[in-house]
Amino acid sequence: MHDDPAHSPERRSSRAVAGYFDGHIAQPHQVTLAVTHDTLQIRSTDGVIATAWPLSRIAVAGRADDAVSLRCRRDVSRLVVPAATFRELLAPRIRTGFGLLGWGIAVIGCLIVLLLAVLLVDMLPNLLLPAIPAGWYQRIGGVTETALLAQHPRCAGVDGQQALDVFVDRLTPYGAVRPGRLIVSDNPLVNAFTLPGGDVILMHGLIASARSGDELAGVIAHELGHVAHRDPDRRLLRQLGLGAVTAALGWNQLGGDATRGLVGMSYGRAAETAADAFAISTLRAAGLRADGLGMFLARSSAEQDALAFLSDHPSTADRVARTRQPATGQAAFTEREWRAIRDICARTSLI
Amino acid sequence: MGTLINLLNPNESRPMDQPSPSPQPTPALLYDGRLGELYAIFLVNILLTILTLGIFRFWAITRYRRYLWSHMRFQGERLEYTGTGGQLFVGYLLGGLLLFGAIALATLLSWLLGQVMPALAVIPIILLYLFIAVLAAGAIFSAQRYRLSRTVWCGIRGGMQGSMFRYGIRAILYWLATLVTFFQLMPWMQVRLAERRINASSFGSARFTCDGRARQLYLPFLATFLVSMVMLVVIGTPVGLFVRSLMPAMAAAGRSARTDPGVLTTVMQQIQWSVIAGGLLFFAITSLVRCWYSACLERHIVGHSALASVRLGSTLTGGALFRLVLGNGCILLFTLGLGYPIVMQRTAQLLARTLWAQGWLDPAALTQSTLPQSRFGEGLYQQLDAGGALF
Repeated sequence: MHDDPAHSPERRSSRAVAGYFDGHIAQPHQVTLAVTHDTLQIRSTDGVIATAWPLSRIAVAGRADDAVSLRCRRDVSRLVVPAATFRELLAPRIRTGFGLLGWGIAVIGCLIVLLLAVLLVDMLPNLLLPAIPAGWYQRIGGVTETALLAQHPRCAGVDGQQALDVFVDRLTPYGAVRPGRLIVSDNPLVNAFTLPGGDVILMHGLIASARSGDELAGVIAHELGHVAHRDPDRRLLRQLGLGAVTAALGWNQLGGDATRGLVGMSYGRAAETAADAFAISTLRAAGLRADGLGMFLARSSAEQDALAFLSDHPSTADRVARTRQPATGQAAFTEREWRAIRDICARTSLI
Repeated sequence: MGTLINLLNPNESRPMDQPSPSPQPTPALLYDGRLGELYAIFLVNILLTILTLGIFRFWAITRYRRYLWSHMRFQGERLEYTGTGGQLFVGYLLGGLLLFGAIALATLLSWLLGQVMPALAVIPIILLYLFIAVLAAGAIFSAQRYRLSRTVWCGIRGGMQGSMFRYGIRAILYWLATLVTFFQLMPWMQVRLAERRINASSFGSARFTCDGRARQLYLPFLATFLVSMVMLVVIGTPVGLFVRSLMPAMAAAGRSARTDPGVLTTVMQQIQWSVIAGGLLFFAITSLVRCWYSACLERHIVGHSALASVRLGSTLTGGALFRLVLGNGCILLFTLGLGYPIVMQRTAQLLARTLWAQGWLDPAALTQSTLPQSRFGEGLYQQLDAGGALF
């Protein structure tokens, strides 16, 4: 292909034949190439084509085994050079890779995206938590509450409810925050949870499966930990933030849900551990027996019926080990109170 | 590289500007992509897509297209894809902004009208749904426009004229007509819409033309439709009877849920699984016949299309399409997505194997397109969750 390789050594240039598509007509022109110090001279034998491409603006538009297609800036005209000619004549003189600047932008772009995601999911919920009025959380929690109580009515035993309220009052001087409402639902499931806004729902199955008042007291104190830490409110904001991130990134429903589940779970574990610790320290500070939660967990991990309460919680063996406490301190409920709590669902109301 | 190699080696006997010697149909596209190279692109794409939480996918799609286009040859010359990831990304953002704006506007209008008269509040919401439906239908048109205008062959690019909104409105009206006739207008709708897209397309000064006859597709469609209906009855009846037989058990379980919540869950699971299994069976059997019909449709539309004087044709068969779809599905499923390059390779190879051309597009008569290029990528198409489509 080389016309005259030893033509002028100081210009390191040589001549070659190539095909040129001028961007006006599909018919290619046969052209000769000559490289000067900063341009590629393109001339057709018939004199129709006479142009010069600055070497700094030439980029590879396409590459095959036998030929390389080149472009200049964003122009649609193309120069198709045999692969051998490209290697010898042009490859050392033009930029073919992504470039340091390109990689720099890519890396910074990745970091910014990750940072924004972390900000939205991790920091923003904590910042926004106090800024949003309490009524907003309560309204959202109320929707769930209404749906739950529509299926299984609220238990309305007066003495039982009073016993539960007295118990909560005994813990409030030691850091516990009174929940909006402490509701027992006539639901056979063994579960208890705190809703956004701070209402605590105890399902009757939990009360029925507890062997002693202290076991129930441990579980309630655990939920009061969530109330004090405002975990459900924070979780709500985090899920909204995650939803915004995954929607903005254009993820599909499946990916978004899976991520929400995974992130929720990892934050959930930390929150559960903190709530366990809160339950034990608060019960001990109030002079009550603090071994109930540990006993309930140890028994439940062996039995099937408490799985619902454990499913979104950290590894039970760890929790049992962490919540094991000596059997010292007062009982949380008197015999009479405990009986009243067990009978709380003898009367139900729909509100 | 047919023309160009002749040009670069003037000694070769065949002059470049002469029509193809045989009037026989020949493969329109030659594909010479390699799986290994696709994997090299794929691995970088996966890594960067994960690192950017998915934002890189616009650049990833662009990288795949560059490779696939540049390994397709038409009349010996390679195609080139000139779109950029940035265009796709901006298009995606603008599409999102448009949807968000439309939803916000409709919500506001609905609230305002609701203050005047509660019954009026529903009007902006209905209009919003219509607007989104038109956009979704029109997005196919504008996505094709973008891809055509970013495809270069011999320094000449493609283009498309017409409005995506007009196309979208027409598509929605056709859809309504199809629904009203209980799907019997389906082939007619498909042929008319494909025809509209093809006739709006051009490559440089050469126009694409299509002149389909939906009537010829009606019998294959009717057969597919009847098989689907029969399968619906054959599979739906036992599933329905089974679910009905569980109803007393479910009522009893609901009453005793207080004592044993497990029973209710078991009955619910049985119902769920029988419906899912029935659905899967229905889908598997009907997709076989639908592949057969889709291949008929493809052969008909391509076979009635031309680029200037080059007649096009397709030899796609229902079996080949079914093997492609089923194989691709299995590959993606069993490799957890890591087989994506194989899927691309299989698809490109099938396209090259089944697309035929008869005649010669004269490069000396093909001049540059005068149609405007779309400035942004097929953002709406991606927003409305048809994303990831390469071809």
